[in-house]
Amino acid sequence: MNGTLIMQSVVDAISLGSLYALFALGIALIFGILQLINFAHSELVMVGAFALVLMNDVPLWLRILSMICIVVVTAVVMERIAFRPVRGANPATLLITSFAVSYLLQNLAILILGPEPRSGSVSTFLDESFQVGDIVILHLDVVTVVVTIALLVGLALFLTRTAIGVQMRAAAEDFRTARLVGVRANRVIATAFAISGLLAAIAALLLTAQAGVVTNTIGVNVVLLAFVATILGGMGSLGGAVLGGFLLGVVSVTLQASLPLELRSYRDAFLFAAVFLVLVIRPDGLIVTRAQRGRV
Amino acid sequence: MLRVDDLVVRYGRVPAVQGVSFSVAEGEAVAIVGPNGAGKTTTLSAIVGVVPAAEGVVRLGGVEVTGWAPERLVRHGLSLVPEGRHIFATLTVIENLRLGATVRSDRAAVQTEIDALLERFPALGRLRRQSAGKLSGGEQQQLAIARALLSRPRMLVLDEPSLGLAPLVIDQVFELLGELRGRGVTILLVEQNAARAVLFADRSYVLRSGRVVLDGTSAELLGHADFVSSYLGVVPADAGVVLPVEEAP
Amino acid sequence: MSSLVPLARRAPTLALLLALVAAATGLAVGLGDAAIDRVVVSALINLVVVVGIYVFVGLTGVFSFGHLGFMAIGAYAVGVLTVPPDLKEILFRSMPAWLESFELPFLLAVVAGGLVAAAVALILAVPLSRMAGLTAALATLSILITVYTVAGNWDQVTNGAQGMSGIPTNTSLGVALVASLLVIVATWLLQESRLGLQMRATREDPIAARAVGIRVGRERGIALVASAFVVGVGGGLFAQLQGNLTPDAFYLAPTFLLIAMLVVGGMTSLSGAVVGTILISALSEFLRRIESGSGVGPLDIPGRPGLTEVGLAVVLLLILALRPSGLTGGRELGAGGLEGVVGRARRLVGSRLGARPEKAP
Repeated sequence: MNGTLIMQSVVDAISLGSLYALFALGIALIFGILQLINFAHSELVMVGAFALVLMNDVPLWLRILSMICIVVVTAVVMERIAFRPVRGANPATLLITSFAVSYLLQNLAILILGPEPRSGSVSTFLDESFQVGDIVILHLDVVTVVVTIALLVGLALFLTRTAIGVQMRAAAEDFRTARLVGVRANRVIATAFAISGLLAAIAALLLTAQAGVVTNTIGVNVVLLAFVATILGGMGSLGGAVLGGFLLGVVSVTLQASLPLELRSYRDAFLFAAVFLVLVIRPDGLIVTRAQRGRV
Repeated sequence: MLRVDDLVVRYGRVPAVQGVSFSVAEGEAVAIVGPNGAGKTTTLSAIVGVVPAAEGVVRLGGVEVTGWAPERLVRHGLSLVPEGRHIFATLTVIENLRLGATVRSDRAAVQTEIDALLERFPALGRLRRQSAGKLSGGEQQQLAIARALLSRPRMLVLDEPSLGLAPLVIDQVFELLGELRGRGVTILLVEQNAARAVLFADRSYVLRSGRVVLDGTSAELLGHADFVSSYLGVVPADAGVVLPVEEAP
Repeated sequence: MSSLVPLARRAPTLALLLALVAAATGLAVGLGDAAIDRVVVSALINLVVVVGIYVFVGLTGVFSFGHLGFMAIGAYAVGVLTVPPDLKEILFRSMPAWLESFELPFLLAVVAGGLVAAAVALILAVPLSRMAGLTAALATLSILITVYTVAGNWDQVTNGAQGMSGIPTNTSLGVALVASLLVIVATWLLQESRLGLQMRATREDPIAARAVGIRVGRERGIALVASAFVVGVGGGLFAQLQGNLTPDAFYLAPTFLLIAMLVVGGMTSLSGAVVGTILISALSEFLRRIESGSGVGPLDIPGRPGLTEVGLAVVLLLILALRPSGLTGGRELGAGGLEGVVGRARRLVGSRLGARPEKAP
């Protein structure tokens, strides 16, 4: 394997890993507090993608801003209407609920917008690329990594420096005790959903820029990959989710590059078979943090 | 301050608490004791709102608070130190303390109080930036109580404060509770360690199979033959008391 | 045999269920138009699959998102075994010769399909039987996705994403009806047997079950293999109804539909599986007719694609929020009789109208 191929793979892995880390964070944030894997996260991405593409004539900064607002509001409303009534139910019920919400929104999109895919470009700047030696780097890749790092830093600051951020961490560790010191359950949960909405919105931006075409299933892979990353990195731990995302990026690119041609399309099968194995051996995910014990 | 009337709590069809009534006057220290499974923790859980009460009325400061969510009760002046401490292990000591003040908005005063608490509890002060999981059992109990105090509660409720702690540490905990009582904090305490609790409290209730079977002042209970033999076992030698308590602990 | 007496006492439930299925089928076929026949056969096959899922999920209490993977295995197996060899040569360019020449008659093939699915389940049962709750749900989801990817790429056997076609269509209304009735009887016998009781014990309280010597892992494993067989048979019948197969027929959307049927009816009772399937099938057909604009009776709402799915999702969400144990409450019909149902309905209404204490999370 020559050096260029390796370097290109590294670049791809970093960019892909950032994207996956973003997806995984959205899922892990909610899971940490509510023990709920929000399948409908994929539809938050879908809403964002459609919003971007349907506002084609609006200046870019306004499109992005409004899209973010729309997705965040959708996330908070989703929690209020669909998840609050089942709060505290067993994990399987929660999973089915999120599945049902996901299915509902996916098909609501068809009902309202029709089944045809919508196309739209986000920005020609993102489609361009530059070269470092023989390695091709898309502007989009750079933006992905930069934005992800910015979001991670922002989130870290939020969780350690703001009152509600600390409350969220407390709630994620021990919801009941958090309430006993006065943490408002509803407020913390709504905030968590709002943030996951923000993460979904950014993911939508990056995916739409990449794909150029939006269908109602644009978010489905997001959630599945996020779920894999979360399992790999340790469920419920935000650091684990990020780690899992990057790990998944590396694994993905490695599999893609190293699998013999005939097996390459089976990449997903390998991935999920690996997830199954991880769940068998370590039900809490590969990296178990202290707060995890006895969770799953 | 706190008044509970005819509380009934069921887990499914099984009644865990069957018609419990008691009260705690302002400034008083009251203990609820009884064997394992008597319904002590369930009673507390129902008062605090963690578990729904099937029947009965809970009043705090004259206001009916039955079925209120825990976070609302805290804002009304009731603070619970749960069984097993339940400090936030992944958060630092300071973060744990700040969380105790969640319901308060006077930042400056909170900071002053936190500083005072860190001085009062040197162990906590030393480890202030460490994650609370690194504290010993006794230190965690101190943290849990300190945290509960930061909400400036009218009433402090403690569930099994001596559980899992070494005897010397238990002494320290009760010393602290004594200080608090001296400062006028109303205290309700649930304990399996009946001796300690009854000696400390002004009045106590004995719970058995979800009902109050005995109640009275410490003097009355300690003089009650059945109580002494069933629930006290051996009274600690240095408790300094065999007959009615006269000195303030 | 002394075990027959309690069995007989519970028999009214079985009779009720069988009658319900037969009646619903008869009603639909009798009152409906020509197009309804196929819908009814589909619904009966769904019933087979849902009852199959119930054998695992309902009896052990462990949730599975992956059972349509077993259905796919059964379906593709039947496809491979029943497409006539000369057709196979033309349609499947890369199928190995021994597979091409192999052919089985319809019913045998369906049973074989079930057995293949059960065999795969047997292998998976070892790791899966140790899982519960969220872990199991996620692990089974992984199985679903893995099977989906393999089905879509294993050109030699499944013809990949293009799908398999040329399957003879032998699943008639009669076959489907008999199959579903048989499956209901078999499942009922299983759940009332000592084995079934042990399985249900592991559902209620795995720790207590272990304490009395029940091997929880073993019970779950047996339930998984049995349920995979039934679901595989359902898949086989499905293959011979459609005549062609694509991997999408066994992925997330149909999984959602079948889970909805089980959950709406009530996950922990056979009656739940039956009632849920009948109701959701009826509702789904009703909505589909509205969606295509053909109107239903006096109602004449303009059709809109996506309406069926949205309607079903809303129903499922309502059930999850208001009555998570399902319409049957997870209990068998006939247990307590009609008064039981009325009494429960009355209490449900009463509790909704009365004061609701704040819930703890």
